[in-house]
Amino acid sequence: MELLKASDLVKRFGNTNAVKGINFHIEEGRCVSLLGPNGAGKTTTLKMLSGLLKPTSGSIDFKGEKAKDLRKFIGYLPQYPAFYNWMSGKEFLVFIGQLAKLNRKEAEKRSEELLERVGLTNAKKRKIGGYSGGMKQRLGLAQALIHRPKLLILDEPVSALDPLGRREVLDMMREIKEETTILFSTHVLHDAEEISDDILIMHAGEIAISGSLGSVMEEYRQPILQIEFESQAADWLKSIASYSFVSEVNIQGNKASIVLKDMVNGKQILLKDIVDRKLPIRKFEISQTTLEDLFMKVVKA
Amino acid sequence: MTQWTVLYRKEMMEMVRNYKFLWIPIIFILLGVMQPVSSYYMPEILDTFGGLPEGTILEMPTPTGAEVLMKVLSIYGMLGVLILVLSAMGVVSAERQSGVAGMVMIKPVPYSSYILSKWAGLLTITLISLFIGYVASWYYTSLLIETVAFERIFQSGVIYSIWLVFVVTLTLFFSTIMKGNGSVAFVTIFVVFAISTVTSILGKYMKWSPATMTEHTGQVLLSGELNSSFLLAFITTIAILIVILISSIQIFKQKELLE
Amino acid sequence: MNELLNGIPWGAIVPILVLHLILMITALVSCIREEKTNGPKWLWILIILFINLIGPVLYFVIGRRND
Repeated sequence: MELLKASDLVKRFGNTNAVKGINFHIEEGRCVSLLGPNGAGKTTTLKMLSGLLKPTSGSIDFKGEKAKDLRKFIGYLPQYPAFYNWMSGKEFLVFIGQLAKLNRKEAEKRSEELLERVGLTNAKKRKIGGYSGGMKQRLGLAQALIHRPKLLILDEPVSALDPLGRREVLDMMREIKEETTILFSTHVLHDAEEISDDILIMHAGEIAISGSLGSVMEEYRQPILQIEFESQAADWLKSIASYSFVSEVNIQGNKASIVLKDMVNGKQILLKDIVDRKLPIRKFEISQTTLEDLFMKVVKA
Repeated sequence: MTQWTVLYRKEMMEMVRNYKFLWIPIIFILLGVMQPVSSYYMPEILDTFGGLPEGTILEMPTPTGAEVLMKVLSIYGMLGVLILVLSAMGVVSAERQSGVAGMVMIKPVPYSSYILSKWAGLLTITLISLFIGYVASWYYTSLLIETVAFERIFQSGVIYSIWLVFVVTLTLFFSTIMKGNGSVAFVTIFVVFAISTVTSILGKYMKWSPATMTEHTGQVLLSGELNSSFLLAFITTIAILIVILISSIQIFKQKELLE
Repeated sequence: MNELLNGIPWGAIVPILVLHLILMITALVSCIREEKTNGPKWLWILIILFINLIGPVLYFVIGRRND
């Protein structure tokens, strides 16, 4: 079932169009990742969906209806969550819970549950001012979940964390996604591949690609040739771009990845070339494009 | 419990934790009792330390109780206002700066509840401080100078509180529209000063001004009677307060939180 | 001088001194318990201790981090 639908969503700040009329929808129960380079308009989009920022134009439907105040359906974790540092973790959650219209008792109960869940039970009486970055992120996750939102929106939930903290948060997200729909932005493609069902790739204020992770990968998958040289072979790599079966050449130092339209003939010709020219190769591998390749292609286009 | 109550209780809790509920009333008490104490000792201080030649008769009329209390209010008008503005300058701006205002508004909280809970918090600390300080000042005046009828104290205190409410509401407004705490304080003080100055220079045309509250306060203290223009000033002040509050809420709605 | 001292209504002066003391102690306690102050902590402690009335006020207004 369609949970949320954005139609022709535009956000303009002064003269710059941060978001240029995007359309997409989110299915209930899915975990959706919003990918894109910095400045693509991810945060702006998420803020509009969370109800914190008014779109310049366009509409957001929630469960098929135009929602007046989206905030009650949505739990939001901003990229840099802030707290009242003089409160204890528990106090903050109870406070936020009451703001989300839980009564005092419910708020207390729910706070305890969530503190347990995000592993902050031992720190619940300590002042938030003394929490580490990872602890704050987990507390942020707890405050977003306090009113059992229909949609959980997370803005770069793991990008500021160290590997350990990142693992913790990703594992928590994996648990949460069993209960609620998640939309999260990231520029770390690995995270998106790991836990999302659907992906949206944004670039320069527009949605470039959307769909389920599997179908997108299927549709855009291309055979790719990875060659690693012992020394640089830039001249040859540049020259092969003129072959009709080569669609793209990416050079990174001694490595090159070549996207081919015709793998069968292409690899023969290239291999022959290498032998003829006596190019010193270390590796010659045939594989498929990854999400990263797709992402790079979208961003560079 | 409504969200407004939750937010107001948070304001109260914060002011207890950061000692505002202790230090601001204490300052008001100390500022309030300084005047009667120094008026009382002035002749003796001069006598003892002034080094006046033997036999000089000091022609220093002892001020009446009402005059002492008027001085107290004029001290509140300067130092009290300064302290209130400085302690309230970050009321919204600091929370916007840290981003925690966004964390609050991401829950389904009406924008008006946020601003009005802040306002109520400011009124609470302002009125409590003024009341305690002024009563202490009255007690010391009665003890050391002469008794002033409590009724006059009460009336003048109420009228004076309207002026202070106006000042903190203005602080809330500038704290909503600007971000730097320092500039909030500076602009508020400047505006308060400008209103007072213009009111006293162009008194004839400014009978409606909120700043006339300080004059009405003096009038009540000295004569026990209210000037007829009080009602006009009272109504315009209330009207201005409402306009300021509504515009604060509207502006706050437009502000981008969580940058 | 003696007359002056005898004439002092101590009942009126003592509360004032006590309030000064409370103000100073509160500011000191707050300053010491605070993890970080705006500016060096030792300087604030000196200011609170040695500048009567103004010192604690300055500390509460600008020295303390309100967050």
